[in-house]
Amino acid sequence: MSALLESWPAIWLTLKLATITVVILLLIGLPFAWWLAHYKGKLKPFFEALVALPLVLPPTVLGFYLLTAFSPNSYLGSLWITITGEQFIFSFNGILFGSIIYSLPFVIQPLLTAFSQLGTHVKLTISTLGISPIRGFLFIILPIIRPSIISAATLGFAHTLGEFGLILMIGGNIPGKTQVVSIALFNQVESLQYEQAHALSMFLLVISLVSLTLLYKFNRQARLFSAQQRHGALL
Amino acid sequence: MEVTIDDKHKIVGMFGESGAGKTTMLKVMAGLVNAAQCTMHLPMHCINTKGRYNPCVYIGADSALFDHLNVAENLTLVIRHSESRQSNSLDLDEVLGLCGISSLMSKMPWQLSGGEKQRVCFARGLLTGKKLLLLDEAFSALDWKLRQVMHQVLRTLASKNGFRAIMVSHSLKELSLCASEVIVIEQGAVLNQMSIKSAVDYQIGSTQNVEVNKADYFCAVNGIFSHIDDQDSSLQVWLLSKSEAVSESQNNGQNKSKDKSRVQTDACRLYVKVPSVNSAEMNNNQFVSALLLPQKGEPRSFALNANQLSVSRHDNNQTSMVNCFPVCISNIIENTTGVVVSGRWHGQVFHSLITIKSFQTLNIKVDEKLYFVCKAL
Repeated sequence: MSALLESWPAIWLTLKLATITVVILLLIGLPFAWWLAHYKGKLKPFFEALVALPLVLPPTVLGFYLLTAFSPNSYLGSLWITITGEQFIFSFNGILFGSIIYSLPFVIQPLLTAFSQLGTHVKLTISTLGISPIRGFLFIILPIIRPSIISAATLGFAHTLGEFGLILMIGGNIPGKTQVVSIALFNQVESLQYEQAHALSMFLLVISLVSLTLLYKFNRQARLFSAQQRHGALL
Repeated sequence: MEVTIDDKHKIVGMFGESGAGKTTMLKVMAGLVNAAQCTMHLPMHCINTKGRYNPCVYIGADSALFDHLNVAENLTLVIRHSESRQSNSLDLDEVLGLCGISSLMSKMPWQLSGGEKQRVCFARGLLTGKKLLLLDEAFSALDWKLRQVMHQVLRTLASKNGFRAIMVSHSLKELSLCASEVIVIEQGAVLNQMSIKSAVDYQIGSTQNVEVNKADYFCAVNGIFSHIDDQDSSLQVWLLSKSEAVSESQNNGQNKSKDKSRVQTDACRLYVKVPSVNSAEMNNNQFVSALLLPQKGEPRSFALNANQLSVSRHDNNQTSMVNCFPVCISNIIENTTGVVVSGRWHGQVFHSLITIKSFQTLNIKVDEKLYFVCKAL
């Protein structure tokens, strides 16, 4: 337990990072996925590829590009320093931005699927009932796809917990500032502190397992629910 | 495709084969589909506006409720968020009474039967406050009895609450019970626009060389409720009205229909059975009871199938047929399945489908005076 307490700053930082990442991703992802699901232009495959890109790209590649783009010598990096007065890389903001890009597909994909499966009839019903698109989105469409929102949030959260390469690249290894659990663990193993490493690994394992179990339990209920609906529709 | 609908027609039917473009037409009117080649002109209404500002609400046969909400939540959602609702729009209790769905409030959409779902969708449409209802086979899952109740609801809404409706159906019989005018659509074009009476006659004329189902021949009879029969409480007595269509007599106000009922004599009566309704239906639907006991002087249409009517040479009182009336034969159509004999009585045309054998035995000629007989409707 004391071993776990020693790593508390890293755990706290990781949970904070994952939570803020998920919140921001949902705020951006919901409108973006809605737009992309209804966008029928030529660039659709390109946008879909862009969303899926972080899935296939090694995190270190992403990290490298972010590092060069936001280094204090670069235009973006110096702009950030002028606005906020602090450096973008090797800061919490830096790893937050990295995480958002890194976990983007895990949040957007389930939402995109949900919006695409919704079909046009829901949208048409909302409009013929005289309900404005914004109210319809907030009070009808979001509640309908709630199971998908929960899975998107859980996947995004769990995926951010396991982030390593990108954070190491862009955030470095500053305890209490950019040192997340996975990096702290690497440090402990490097310095042969196996007891702390065990505690931390177990903690990470349990959290991931619990969140995924909850996710699948919820999804199963949602599936059962829709199966009942289909059954009802057939009768 | 271009249609103009006169303001005097409160309920207009749209009729055509499947695939003729009825649904597309309605969806264009509701602003749900873009199709430049369809235009609808309705005086007093600005149609062809997009979606939510459109004055029409589209109610289809398979309109979906929101599956994650129960019936009550589905309905209150519209009350809370619909921008077309006004202070004088129908409130929840009125609509529940009209559609007989009070007992369904806590059910989820997937627990409803097809007919229940359609009534909830209709109720939801009424709650939007939009006064133009586009009904695309909206009652197709209801049994005939309940469907007639909903037609009655629709007519009441049209005459009392200023609603107008365009009703799509592939059944001319259904349309003849509520609509005053019919638009016939064929292969994406308006073939004809005419009164419901001529549409029924047109249908009969156009099928004379085709072997058709016997149920396809029918006539819409307009009557005015008079009283319950003195000897038999299961029989209603209706007097035949001379007006061409029910909704017209409704539009012309009370005075005229009173005049009409005064000139009706007992001679033009039609016996109609009091419909049997179980008590559960009675409790949750005021309009089922309205169907049971119509108001005195209330006008209504009946669909009378041609195979229900028989032809007789004599005014024969010694049969079980309670309805017997004299007709003047106006038209005879022979085809391979039988003979349709049309006769006039009090300005209304009736059709009787008889076999070729009895046609030859009776030796019927046009302009002859004969009797049509049938059991209580």
